[in-house]
Amino acid sequence: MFEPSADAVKMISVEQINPEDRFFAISLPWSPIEQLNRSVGRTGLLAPLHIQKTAESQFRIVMGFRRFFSCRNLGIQNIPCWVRVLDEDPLALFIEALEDNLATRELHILEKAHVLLKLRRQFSLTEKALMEDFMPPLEIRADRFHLDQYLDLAQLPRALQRNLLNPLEPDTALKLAKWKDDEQDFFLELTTRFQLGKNKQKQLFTILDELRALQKQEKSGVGAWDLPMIWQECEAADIERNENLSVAERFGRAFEALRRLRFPHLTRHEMRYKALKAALKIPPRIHFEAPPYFEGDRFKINFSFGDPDELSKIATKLDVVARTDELKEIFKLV
Amino acid sequence: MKPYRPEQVFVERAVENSPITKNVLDALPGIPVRSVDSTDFLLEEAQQWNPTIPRSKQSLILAHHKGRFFKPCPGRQAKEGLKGVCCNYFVINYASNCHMECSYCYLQSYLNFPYMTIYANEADLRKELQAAFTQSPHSYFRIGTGELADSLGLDPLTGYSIVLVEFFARQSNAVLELKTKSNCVKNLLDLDHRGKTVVSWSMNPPYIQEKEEHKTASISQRLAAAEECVRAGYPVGFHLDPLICYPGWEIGYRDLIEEIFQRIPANSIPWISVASLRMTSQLKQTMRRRFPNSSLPLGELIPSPDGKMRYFKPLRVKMYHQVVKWIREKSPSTQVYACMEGPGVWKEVFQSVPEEADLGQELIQCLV
Repeated sequence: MFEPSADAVKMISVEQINPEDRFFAISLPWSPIEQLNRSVGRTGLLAPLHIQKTAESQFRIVMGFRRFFSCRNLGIQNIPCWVRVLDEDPLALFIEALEDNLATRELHILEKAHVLLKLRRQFSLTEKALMEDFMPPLEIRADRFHLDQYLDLAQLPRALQRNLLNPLEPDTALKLAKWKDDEQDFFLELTTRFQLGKNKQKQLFTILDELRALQKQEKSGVGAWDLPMIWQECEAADIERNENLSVAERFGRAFEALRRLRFPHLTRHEMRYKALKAALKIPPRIHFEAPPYFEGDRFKINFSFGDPDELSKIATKLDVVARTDELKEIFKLV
Repeated sequence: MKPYRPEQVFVERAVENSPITKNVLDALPGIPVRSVDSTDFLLEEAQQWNPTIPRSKQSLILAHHKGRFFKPCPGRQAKEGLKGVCCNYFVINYASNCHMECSYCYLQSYLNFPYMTIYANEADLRKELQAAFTQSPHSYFRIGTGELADSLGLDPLTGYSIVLVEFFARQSNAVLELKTKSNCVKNLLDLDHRGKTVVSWSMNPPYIQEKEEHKTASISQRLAAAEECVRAGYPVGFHLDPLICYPGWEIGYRDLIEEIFQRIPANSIPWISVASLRMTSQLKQTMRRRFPNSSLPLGELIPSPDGKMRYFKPLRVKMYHQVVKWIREKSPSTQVYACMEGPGVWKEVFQSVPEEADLGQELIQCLV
């Protein structure tokens, strides 16, 4: 166990520290440090870095990557450091670094993933040791499924890693990794352009993934449309260019275009229903609903009224609706 | 069918002396056998594997069933309001899991214990059934063993069918249905079944069988096995389940029905059921991972009120209409019913919605 003594802290020049050596790193190279910059700028560096000598006058960081970058950004030339002795067990040092991070902040899912990958590859720990000793403190369910999932996350292409959690959800990122590079880029561009939240991103990924798979199967891979072609062919690309619509409206309509391609029977039925319902001319205060997905045989009507006259008018209108041919046609749809 | 040969067998000590255990061990010479007090540790072991299947299927467990063997079909237990039209069916869970690999099989995402398991305490099973039949002498039970396992797929190892068929032959108020995608009927052919066992096959056009029902008997082999059963005097049933919508489905199913009735006399077929493809969203994900070339999860499936995904209703009603019409053209007297469908679909396809007891009764009448 590390037993610090005050006189062991030395001021080391930033030039002598090599931040590219990420052997002990827990944080991600692109972890945001604006908050830390502010803090170091105001009060200076309160906790020294832990570094290890790698060559004459050259050091690597054991703990304090983010602090190092903060100091460097702020133009600090000399940084207070604990210099760790060379013969210390590297695994023990890495565990110290991990504990230091776990005690002070919440780790990003990808940081956890890289910790597990390093323990497995760099320190050759067994999967059993990872599941028993490391996944519980990282707050990951200790089973093979989750271990594999995290190891896969740590090996995602760099572009997907950089987008993980913002905006990419881990599950989507892992599935997206199975697409070709240009299709991954296309999807990332869409999520950025439409500023998609978690649910919409998942919906978009699912429908594109299925359309892509359908194309491959129907055309046996030969001549199958790739994603930009699917986007083009279903007219989502035209919708996206329509500047008269808000971003949300553009996404909604583009997604509908994809749905028409994925669910042709259902969407044709929906359109027919919409047209018939419009022909009923039901006032907006009466909500008329077909069973979801036309599954089931019960329709719903909701309305509110403020006085007996209003109720009477609604009843009259409903009576008229009940006799229309359009309503009969609607019933045929379910 | 590809015969099942496990890499190892675990035998719970409680069933070491069971005749089923003896049958299995005699049929698998040279396979390592390990006696264990309990198989709980295997579950923990399986949780460390990813994916669990197919590795878990390489171990065969001969276990002591501690719970009830005999239960109402899960279709009957559906939540109120989501309930389909029920045919008053019961199930016997004599085993769980299946070595065949149908891409659409719900067991992939349903079973907690993922090993091939046979419950070898068959004496307890018979005792439980006898008590139920005696307790309700005026009820007539239609019971199947194909809920959590194929009824006959492992029969060359277990000989379970012999125990069951002979037991049901002595019952006055129960009939057994053995539902399979195998052609393992050898054990059945010389039994004195007294018409109390229906052997039935899940059927799909050969195109679907080859593409989606891996390791199963071919359609031609299934029909050959059905012919043997007919010659041995068994009534035989067919289940067009799951009905799959694919380009050319009309020709596929029409030809299949044609072939069934060409090879099997209509008066030997008491019932044919129809049920469209259905899956939970979890199963859909599993299918896409395990069977990336399967087109089934890419069908026009939409959520139903019971939480499963099915073909869009007008599409499946159209399929039912056609298939039922083709069956009726061949045999107006064969009872055709839809499984796992609600009253709305029944009304459209069959023009009426039977009461639970009535449908069960009608199916039993077909055997009398």
